[in-house]
Amino acid sequence: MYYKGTYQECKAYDQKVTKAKNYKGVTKNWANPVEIKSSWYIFKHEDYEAEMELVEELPQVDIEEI
Amino acid sequence: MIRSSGAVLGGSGIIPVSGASFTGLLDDYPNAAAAYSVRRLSSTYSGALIRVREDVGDTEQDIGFDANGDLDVTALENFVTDNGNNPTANGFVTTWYDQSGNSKDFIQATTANQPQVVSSGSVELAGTKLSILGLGTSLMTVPSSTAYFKFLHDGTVSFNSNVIETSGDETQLEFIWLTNNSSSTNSGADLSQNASELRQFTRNGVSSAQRNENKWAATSNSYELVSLRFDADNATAADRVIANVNGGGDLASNTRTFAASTADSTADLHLFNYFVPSNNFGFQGKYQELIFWDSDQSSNRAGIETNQNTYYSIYA
Repeated sequence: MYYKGTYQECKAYDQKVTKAKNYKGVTKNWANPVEIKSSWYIFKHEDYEAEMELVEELPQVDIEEI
Repeated sequence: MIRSSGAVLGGSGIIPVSGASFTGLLDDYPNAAAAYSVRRLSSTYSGALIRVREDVGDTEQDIGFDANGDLDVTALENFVTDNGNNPTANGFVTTWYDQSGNSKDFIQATTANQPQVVSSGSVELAGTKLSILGLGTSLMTVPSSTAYFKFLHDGTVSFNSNVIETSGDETQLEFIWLTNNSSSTNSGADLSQNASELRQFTRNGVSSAQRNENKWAATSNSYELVSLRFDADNATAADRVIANVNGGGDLASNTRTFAASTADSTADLHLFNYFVPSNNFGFQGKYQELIFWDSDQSSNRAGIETNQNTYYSIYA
């Protein structure tokens, strides 16, 4: 599951989860915003909610683009 | 936990190196450019094999090898489950250490993109050996590797060996990815799987389509040893990218042949995904071993494959 929002909203969600989890070691943060087709997405943590649109998967990218 | 100069100080699962009788694959076939495995590969390597995060308290620990050179599964399970106190805990790989001595470790600092090695208290397996599972969103990166892995596409004859369990997913899945998206100015190399094919390519940076490309039939959820030879400026077009699967003969059915590129790729080396960790392209299979040589290993291929098959029991 992913949240869809602005870059700032996605980044704020990462910072919220990261602060709550207080990672140590190599691990530094929860997830990074991903831009696909001019929209921003971030992977949802099962324990943390946000006021953003929830989507099942990221949009498909045409394989031929790769 | 402190890891320094190939030695790991403290922590469980890491043993002192006796150096007595151990002979690893890299002792017989040396000078790898980078080498990653769930077993010890060299008698001179004394560091950890992987670094793992457990998902209850999010602590991390290096995991080394046991007296046989196998990844220390007991230490791994004890760490992840807190000696059985958290029996359903999961473990994720933050670092897959390079055993070549070149310090090209795969790392992932973002939890949502770390591959999994322990699920509900039990280690992931491929065959009978521990494996690292791609979750679709997984992505591991060798940072600052842009110029280092140029040998994959610049015409250098190079060789890499992959012990994998292919995915059952039917989308395009990226195992190794050394290129930005479809930028026409980006050179790169790739190993991937879709519903029916495995594919390797080197791209020359002129356009997305300008690449040396080889495709062969893939089987879902198949345990395989895939050896790849990259020679992007070979005068014989069909020999520019060659694959050998499970010790078989050359698969050189190149579908596209273009020139090599000596320009740097603008992306670091990725494993389990392409340039961003998208679950549309993330490999949902398993890795156990990945070794790169920046030299031709054709004459050693049979020996390398025998070593790997003897250890992993991949094919009859």
